Amino acid sequence: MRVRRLTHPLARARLSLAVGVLAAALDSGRAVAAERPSQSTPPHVALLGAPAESTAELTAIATALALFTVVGSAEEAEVAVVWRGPGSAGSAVDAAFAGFLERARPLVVLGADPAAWPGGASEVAALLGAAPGGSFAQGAAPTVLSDYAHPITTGVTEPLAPPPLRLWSGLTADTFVLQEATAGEETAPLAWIRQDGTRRLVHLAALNPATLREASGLRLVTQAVWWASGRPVPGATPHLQRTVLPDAHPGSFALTFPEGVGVCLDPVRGGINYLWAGEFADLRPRWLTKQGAPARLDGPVWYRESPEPAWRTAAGGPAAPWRFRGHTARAGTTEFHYEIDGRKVTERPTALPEGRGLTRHFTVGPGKPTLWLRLAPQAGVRIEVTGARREAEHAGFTEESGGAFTVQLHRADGEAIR
Amino acid sequence: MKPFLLGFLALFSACLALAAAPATARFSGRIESEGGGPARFAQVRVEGAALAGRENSQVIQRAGNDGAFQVSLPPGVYEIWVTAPDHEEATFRLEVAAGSTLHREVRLSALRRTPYRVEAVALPRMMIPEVSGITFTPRGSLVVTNRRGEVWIRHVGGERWSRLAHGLHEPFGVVATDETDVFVIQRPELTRLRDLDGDGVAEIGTTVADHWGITGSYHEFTYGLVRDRAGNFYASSGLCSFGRGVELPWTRGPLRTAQYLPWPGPGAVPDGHRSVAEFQGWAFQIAPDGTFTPWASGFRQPLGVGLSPDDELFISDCAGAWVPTSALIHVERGAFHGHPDSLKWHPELRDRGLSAAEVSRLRRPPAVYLPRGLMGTSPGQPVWDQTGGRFGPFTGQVFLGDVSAVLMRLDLEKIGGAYQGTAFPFLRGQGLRLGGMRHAFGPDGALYLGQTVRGWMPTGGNEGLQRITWDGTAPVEILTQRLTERGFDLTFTVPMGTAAAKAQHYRFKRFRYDHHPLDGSLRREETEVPVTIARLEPDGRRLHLELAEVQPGFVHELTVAPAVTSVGGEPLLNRVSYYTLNRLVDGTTVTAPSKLLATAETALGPGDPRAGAELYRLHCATCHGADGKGSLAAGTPDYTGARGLRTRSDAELAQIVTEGRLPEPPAVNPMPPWGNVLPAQAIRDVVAYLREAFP
Repeated sequence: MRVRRLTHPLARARLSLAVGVLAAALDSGRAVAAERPSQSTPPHVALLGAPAESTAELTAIATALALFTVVGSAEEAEVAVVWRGPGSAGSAVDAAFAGFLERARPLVVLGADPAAWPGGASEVAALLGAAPGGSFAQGAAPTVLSDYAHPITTGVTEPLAPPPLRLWSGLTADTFVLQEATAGEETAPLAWIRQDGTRRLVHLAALNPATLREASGLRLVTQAVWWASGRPVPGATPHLQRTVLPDAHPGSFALTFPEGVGVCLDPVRGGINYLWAGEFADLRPRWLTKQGAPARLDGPVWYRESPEPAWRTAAGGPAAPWRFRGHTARAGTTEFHYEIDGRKVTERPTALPEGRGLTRHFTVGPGKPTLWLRLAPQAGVRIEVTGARREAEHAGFTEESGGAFTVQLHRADGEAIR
Repeated sequence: MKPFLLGFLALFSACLALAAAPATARFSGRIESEGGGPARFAQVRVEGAALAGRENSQVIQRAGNDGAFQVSLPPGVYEIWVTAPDHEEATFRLEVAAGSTLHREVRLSALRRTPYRVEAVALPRMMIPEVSGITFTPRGSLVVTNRRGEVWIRHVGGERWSRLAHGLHEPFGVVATDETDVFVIQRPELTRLRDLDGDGVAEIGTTVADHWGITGSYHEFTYGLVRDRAGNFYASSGLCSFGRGVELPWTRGPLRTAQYLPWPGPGAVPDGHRSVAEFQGWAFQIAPDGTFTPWASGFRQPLGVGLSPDDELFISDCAGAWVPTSALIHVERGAFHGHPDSLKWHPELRDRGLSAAEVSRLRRPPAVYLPRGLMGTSPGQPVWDQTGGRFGPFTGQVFLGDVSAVLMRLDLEKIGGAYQGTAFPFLRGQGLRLGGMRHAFGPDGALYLGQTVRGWMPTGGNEGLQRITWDGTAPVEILTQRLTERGFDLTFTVPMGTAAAKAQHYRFKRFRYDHHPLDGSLRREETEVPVTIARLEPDGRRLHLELAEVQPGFVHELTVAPAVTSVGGEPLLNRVSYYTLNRLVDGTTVTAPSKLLATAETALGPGDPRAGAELYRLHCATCHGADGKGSLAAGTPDYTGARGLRTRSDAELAQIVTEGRLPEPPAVNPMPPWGNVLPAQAIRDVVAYLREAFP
């Protein structure tokens, strides 16, 4: 690994502020911060990239990053933000950046330019999981800029202005595209994430001087930093998508929490098929081809139930008659509604902090039958039942007048997922 | 029908696979506009039995920006369709020999200007334009779904769009009570979306019904959606593509994977579409309280669901196995419409094991066939013009689009209690995009078309939402074509000139289709039907045509000569129509003895061995050998041996070539029937060659 110098752009750019860009960035940063204050301690962030012609852009980025604790060296940084690249070969180098990379710290790369990387295209490709170059719609302008539902794209309601696309291709299997340009059947990745071991990496490939003037562009930068740091993205809400998931009936729900819990809720089973460590269900495999494939999960499954129906007439008894009645989603809360053995049941899943697990909140309407929910004790998961009777692998709710109970699924080691 | 006739396409593939794989040929060319330069968005569609392994036995190749195309083909005989927006299509027949290289320059002439303007409707900038459902609220807001699971509303009185919902599972139809109460048919369920707080975003998604099976197969779409005056919804379910994405045990409801009518084989089943899960291949009704009623069966891919102004249900189905060509079907409760696999879920017939002949007798034929080619390939949602004349003179008629940038117009009539009628092309290209699946007339009197293709053919982004408006000028068209005892009565939209009174300006051909498990049907018994009398009423609009013979059970293709123009000299915008004649005016459905068929039969000439030699080289030599010695691998006999062909009469040989033949042990490969591929005269030529080459 080559050693490069970190520079603090605020210091370097102080005398050459682009006032308009700075103002836009300040406004955007303040707006985002005011709209969605974070409950987390902001990470320490270092901003790299010092091409002289990029002073205004660096200033804009740095201003947007004022939400965080901006530090002057990579050694102090928890997250590095790289504009275009750390500098061409022969530029001043800093062993701290090499060390930063070697420690697999989180990295947010904005508009990577292979020329701004000492190792050129091969180095940037190895880091980003994509090779510079490719083709797109024979040079046509994109017709749609498509965002996929990820905490990083939260609140991006307007597409970035179509930029002169810098094309990337050959994305590695461990990348997840969050934003892409489309023109008919052709696509070009504009933003993607990669989890290389413990490092979280974000590449916002579409960022350029023009898109940095847009609120959406700067919002993406700050949200990328939050996500890369492993903290919840402020204001990010759970996302619900009905689709074909692996190991589930078609039409199951992918409910993803920004805390880092992914839920596969299967209405045909009447329960949760599995939980995974992640906050994203990648539907590109379903959407981009005629035949499609199940959605891709962005993390490992850590809790899994067997395919049998979830609700029983007795502990160990036959399946209870049930029907799925729909869902409600408001104010960041999602509820799933069932009719089970003649009783109305609502399940509201919520994530435990830092992705440590899931709480299943059940509300049961009046009725005589005792409802038995199958539990799936398994290694690495601790199950807590509150408000219902626990019998071996079942939780039984007996109150005829109705009421509530909860089932908590904890990572048994107590470790945060991240 | 003999069982072994059923397997032609797949058997042909099997024969080829067992013999030495024939070298593919290269067919290339360039498509130009008559105005000069390449025709934009041009494409070449190649259809032929040799492509039986492909969906709809076809290859679709988009030409490049320079108009050039190139496609590799196995040896065979093909129909080539060259199309481009705003241009007349070009069709020709192509015989391709193994390893050959063919090149064609195709010049497309421009379509005449019509009084209908096609324009794009701008969609939200972040909406992938795979439009899968469109409707209007009673106030006039436009509601659009896309296949990525979004519901968008363009609010009345402006261009503001809001996203009511997202995250749905591939919706394919929508009905809106108002801007806050919308019903969407998703793959797994009918859902009611409600925006209770009026913020433009639905908070509640209530499952209204989810009683049909799903397997995860990519092809098991759930289509819809219409609602009758009583509040009942109607939708339909396509057959799944068995083996592709069926994820056991992750399937909803009971499964029946075996075919209802087993393929007589050997060889691969020619069509993998199967009703694996409950009610695939059915239309169903969902009452307002969610009560689910399986309504009718026998569908393959019932893409388009529509209701007539009288709340009668109509569904369009797509060509393929047991669906000889795409069609519009009048669907009544309990009816069966052709694809037997759906009978697995029929309460009385599920275990009866009906024969092919019984299935065909049970089948209720479509109201209108939509012959492949001029009338597209995969029709979308039928909608009735109830604009009161704001869309032109076609009030009460049916419009439906097609995936191949065609918009059709249908004129229905009820005879003997059943619908039948005429299909006319309305727009072909002329600005239409590909993928016309969903349609709705708007409060502005315009016809809106939602388009999605996703992988069925390349679009280059040429899909989304379009609007068709009428400029008020009378289009010169055949308005109606109605059956009479002796022929047809036509009405024109405008007074026609005297040339319209000449019988020689009208050419009728009739043909029928086979109802069989092969991938669609070619035209069978195609025969000219002479026009004996043409009488134009003094108003110049009404024309009586009498034919030499009127027989039920045939599609009647009418082609009007270009000489027939309006009084003002304007030519007809569309000169071709297809009338599906299921019943005579007295309700008769049984075909009487035909003089025309006898005439057609005797019109065949003696076999030409030279022409037969070329056909033998193209179609027969692969399995039978150029030297006639046959092939052990293919299981074909030695024509030069002691038995040779001497024990067979010419008529027997012609029958074998026409209908195919089951294998004689130890051979395992049947001979495919060539009657669907070669005209009768060509088969005579082949027999003549066999006699000459292998006496």
